Amino acid sequence: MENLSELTHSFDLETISPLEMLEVLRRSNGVTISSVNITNARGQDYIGCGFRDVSEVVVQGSVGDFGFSSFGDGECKISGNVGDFFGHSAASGVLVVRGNAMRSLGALGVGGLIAVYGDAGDRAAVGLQGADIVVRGSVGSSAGLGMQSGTLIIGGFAGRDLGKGLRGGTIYIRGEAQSISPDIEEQRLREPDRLKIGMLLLKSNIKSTGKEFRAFRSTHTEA
Amino acid sequence: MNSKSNRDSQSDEFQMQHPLLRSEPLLSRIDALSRGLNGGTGIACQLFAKNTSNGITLNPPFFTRLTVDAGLSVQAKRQLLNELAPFGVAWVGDSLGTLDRKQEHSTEEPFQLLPRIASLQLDEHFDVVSLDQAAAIELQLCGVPFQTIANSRRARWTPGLPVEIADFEQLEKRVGVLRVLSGGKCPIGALVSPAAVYEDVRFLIDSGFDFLTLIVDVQFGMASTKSLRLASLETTIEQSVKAVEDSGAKTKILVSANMVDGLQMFRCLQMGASAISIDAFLAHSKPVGIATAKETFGSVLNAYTATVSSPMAWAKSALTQLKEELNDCAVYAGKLMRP
Repeated sequence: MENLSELTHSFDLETISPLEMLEVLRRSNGVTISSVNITNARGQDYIGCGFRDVSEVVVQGSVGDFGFSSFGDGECKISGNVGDFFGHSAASGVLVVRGNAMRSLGALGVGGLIAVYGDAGDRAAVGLQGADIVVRGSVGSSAGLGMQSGTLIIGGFAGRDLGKGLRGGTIYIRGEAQSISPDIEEQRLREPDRLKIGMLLLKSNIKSTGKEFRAFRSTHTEA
Repeated sequence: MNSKSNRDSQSDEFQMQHPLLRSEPLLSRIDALSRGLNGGTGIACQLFAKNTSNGITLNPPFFTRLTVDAGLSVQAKRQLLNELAPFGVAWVGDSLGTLDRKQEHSTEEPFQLLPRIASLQLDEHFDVVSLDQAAAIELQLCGVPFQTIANSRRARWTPGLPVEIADFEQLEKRVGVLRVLSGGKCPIGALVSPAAVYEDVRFLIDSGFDFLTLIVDVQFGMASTKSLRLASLETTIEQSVKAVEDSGAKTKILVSANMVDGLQMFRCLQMGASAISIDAFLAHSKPVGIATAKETFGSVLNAYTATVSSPMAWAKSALTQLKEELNDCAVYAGKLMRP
């Protein structure tokens, strides 16, 4: 049950649904909530959907599909795995996943940072519109599908059709891709790129120099 | 004499039972549409969010998509909607109220009372603020998402389901996330240009949509006659209504087609459509003729708005005429239905 103590909420997902959780937070009437602790997350869908103005969210367990859609203005840490469309339409803030992510990670995100310490499934960063995504492991096929702007950093390997239909933004990859879409081309890694990679990895708490990466941008984008 | 007086009393009695048939001015009987004729079942369209009593009422059962499809300027949209406001016509599109608040001299305008159906493209992020202010949400399942061909007007209407929602569960979850984001208060709908109508409608009903808007005709130019018919109107309505009945759901069917007079619209409603688009009717009633083949309804109206003092007054007269026509049809149908 919810435990209201000033600006801190604790939710047990055994007893409250994601929709009810959101209603409790919306009743706060614009007051910033310092922390939300969610327990018993066992892959339920829509967890954290629509969360805004919450300084810190901690989820014990795994999140199902469409977790933390439209998330904004806060920091969230998830101890387990996440399902499809995690961080869909993310607006701002930081989402950290300690496990793996399934398909369409960070789809249509317009801002903020999504960091996944494990691997991500197909179509990571699909239609990305400005958010930054860091995947420490590998990604599946069609990563960066239809990206418009933003950054996708892949610490491991990528599947088929990397950057298919990409129209803007940048993909950085450290390993190899099974196949690279003709919509993107490799470009020289410049100092601003290294700085950007370093900064995003630092924000994601991932240690790396950022030098081993290769940069890919749209074939129609000026170098 | 007796027989005449009997006839009069019978007539009076009938008129008491059917007040709409009294010889009143037509406009004073305008509520025929909302009250209904036999038994008082209104013709107004009610859209409810699933398993709740939250929703909106389209009364009369009209909606316009000109605000999202015609490329109207914000000024033209507001002027058009202000003219349509007395009629309670629902409109589809992004919130104009958000833009208003940014202006210094923002005042409450009539159109802000109209029910707004927020349109959401497949490759568009969920704008929580815009969705929060909407009376209903409509997912646009037309067009090719992530298309590389810019401004392809035909491609926009191509029926297409991208990989993300190709399977039933994914689409159901997308509906679910919109339901959560809207607090479970908004009816969630889909806009489709159906190909295999029965199968498409069943699929969308199973996905959990509360209402479906079927695009039967697509208009490309200024003239309402210049349209691309994607499917037969009668067949589309018949098949979609059958699909709803077979599924046992309460999903409502909204139709956007090239209907340019009240009789066609009334027939469409009688066949089972819950609400109808008045876009083709408005395009047909426009105050200016076709200039060049490339001009669109939006481009001409935008220019017209900039030059004429009350540019959308024609819409009000057109709607008045439409309601008269529909009322005539309703009353006439009531007479036909008389035992």
